[in-house]
Amino acid sequence: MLTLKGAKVFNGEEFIENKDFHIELSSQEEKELNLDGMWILPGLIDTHTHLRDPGQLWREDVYSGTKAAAHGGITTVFAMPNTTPTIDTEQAVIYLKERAKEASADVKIVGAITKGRQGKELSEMGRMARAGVVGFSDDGAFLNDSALARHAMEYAYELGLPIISHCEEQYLKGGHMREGWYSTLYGVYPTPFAAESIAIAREIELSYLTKAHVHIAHISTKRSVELIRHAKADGINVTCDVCVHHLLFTDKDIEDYDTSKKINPPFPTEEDQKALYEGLEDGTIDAIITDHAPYAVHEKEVEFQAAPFGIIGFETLLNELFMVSKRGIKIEKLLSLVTSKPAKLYGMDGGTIESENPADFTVFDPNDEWIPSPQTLFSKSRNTPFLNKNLKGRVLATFHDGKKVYGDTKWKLM
Amino acid sequence: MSIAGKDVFDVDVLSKEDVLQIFQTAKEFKEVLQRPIKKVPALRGKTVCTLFFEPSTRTRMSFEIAAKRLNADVVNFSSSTSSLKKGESFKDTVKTLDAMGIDLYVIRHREPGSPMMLKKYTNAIVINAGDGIRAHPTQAILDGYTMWEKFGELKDLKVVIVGDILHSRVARSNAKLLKKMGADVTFCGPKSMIPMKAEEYGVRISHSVKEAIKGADVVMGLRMQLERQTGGFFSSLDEYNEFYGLTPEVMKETSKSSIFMHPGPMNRGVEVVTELADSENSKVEEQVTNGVATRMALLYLTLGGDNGANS
Repeated sequence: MLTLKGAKVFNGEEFIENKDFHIELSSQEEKELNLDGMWILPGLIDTHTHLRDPGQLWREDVYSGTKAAAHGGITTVFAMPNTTPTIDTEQAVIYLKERAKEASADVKIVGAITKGRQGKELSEMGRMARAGVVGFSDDGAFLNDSALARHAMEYAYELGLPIISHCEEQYLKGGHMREGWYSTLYGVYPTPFAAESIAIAREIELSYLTKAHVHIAHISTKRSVELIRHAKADGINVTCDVCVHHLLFTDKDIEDYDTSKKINPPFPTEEDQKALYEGLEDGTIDAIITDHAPYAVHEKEVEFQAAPFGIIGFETLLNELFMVSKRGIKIEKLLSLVTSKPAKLYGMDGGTIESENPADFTVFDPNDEWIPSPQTLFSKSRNTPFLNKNLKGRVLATFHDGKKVYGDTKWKLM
Repeated sequence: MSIAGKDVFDVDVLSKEDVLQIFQTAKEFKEVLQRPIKKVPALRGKTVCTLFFEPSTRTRMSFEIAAKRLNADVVNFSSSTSSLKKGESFKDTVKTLDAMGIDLYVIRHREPGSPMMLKKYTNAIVINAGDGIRAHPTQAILDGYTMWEKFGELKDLKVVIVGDILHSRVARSNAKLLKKMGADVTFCGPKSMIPMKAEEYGVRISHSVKEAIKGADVVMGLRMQLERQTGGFFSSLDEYNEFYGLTPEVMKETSKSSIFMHPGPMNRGVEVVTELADSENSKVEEQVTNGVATRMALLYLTLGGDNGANS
């Protein structure tokens, strides 16, 4: 038995009094670790990630991806279906589930809404639900056909699962950063905010029509926050999340044309970012995600407009939340948005610490530091703007299903 | 303080004094260009590489002639004759060329930020000859020089740039340079072709040529990019010409000594009529000559020369 003493414990809502934790060890020894000044958090939940498995294994796979997640303190991830082939059948769901059995985190699978994410025909949503998907999404693409989107919601409603919607109007999209003064100054073809908010407005109306739970992924504009706030006040079953990177970077930061800052939706303008913070404060935003999107070095080492969209995020999530809290949001609130809040949102267990021997938890040292680099990252990819930057706070160990899935040298004894 | 060794990604890297030094040096070189033997040995032994990833005739030739007039060796790379067609990446192309020993690159690329990207792979000096819609600093320098030559200074000069501002790197770099030198600049065009928040350059925005042009010292037309017709930026060339076309008639509202400029190539009958393009007020050909003189100055100064044209 290992006893952990002295840490501050976050129960999913707030820090509670120090108490001792007990972990079963494989050996019969009795050990104690003093964790004064450190935090014990529930295993984090990241409800929007790209594990690139199957079919894009040069970028990531279910094992490297979940090892990276464990390194970031994350024990539950939602795998988006934009793989090769697309996760759009019951067989594909079963295959990925099978592969994920040996993963370092709980992999929840999101099935595609349409076959091949092509927006033409519905995939077999009922069968995928039977195989255990947690929701449906054509992430990376907006389902332009509103009639088809309506039917997808009707099925989702019957199945009791959410539609996770990537909102981007088909004719206004296509830019490489958010339209504003900086897109003008940097000469980068932009996308106006309305590309996102128009699509969100449609989803709100279809949710009202079908009663389906529509979850809007990675909102990034002021109008998006306002529309969703209004819809919630009207009692419409709409929820949303924000990507952690969008809380730290703005369009101005594209200055150096660093392709590891290229993401879709693009970084917000300062005004839009301010609205995202307000949305976090007043509860309009229901979760924080990483949208972990690995790309190989050679794919990102190209001209800005030629580069693919995406940033990895698992391993820096807690560091980034820490930085966001420095800008005036309480750390408890931010932590709840990657623990208890997403658990509740999707009706899952976890995201809290209730007993003295939890199955999923992470030990975090808020005073230590680390530097993401090819040597320290567990992800196969390196596309993060934090590469080679010194970051405050470090995950010391992560436990999943009662087993250690990550631990630095201090935790070798287990 | 010196221009020597500076990478010219855009005009912002140049101070007001740098710009004036380039103008002065260009003036001396322009005089060289009028000699029977139009050549000085200022850059003997230096190698200039023009890297053109986007089609261009006048800018590439202007740089090539400028470098040759200074006795530099010039090698030209263009993507249509290169291994880029074979799928070689920008990075590999640059690393290959760099291994051959280049002192200065002139780069034209459709991607904004590409000169800065080039700099990641080389220690040579980099001059931007146009990167996407972002910047075209040497065009702004030659335009500024043309105005300086005519009016003596740029301060309080009233400059109106008319046309497709949205897709124009020329307008963007000109706005920066002219504001730096104290000119009064107006962007004029239909709203669909004015980039978002362009007023933050410190320029005025107008959607009426008649209004914008009153009392102007310089009217600069921009090439209407005909391929944009399908994007819904304007309805027809005919309507565009009626509302935004530049004519001797329209120029009557400008100041007495006003000039017409255009970065070329012109679409006669679209943004400008022949009667204006070929008029006495037109500086279009002078701009081309000044392009060579200012580029000579820039090559000379960045590569470390400081003794003027006679060295």
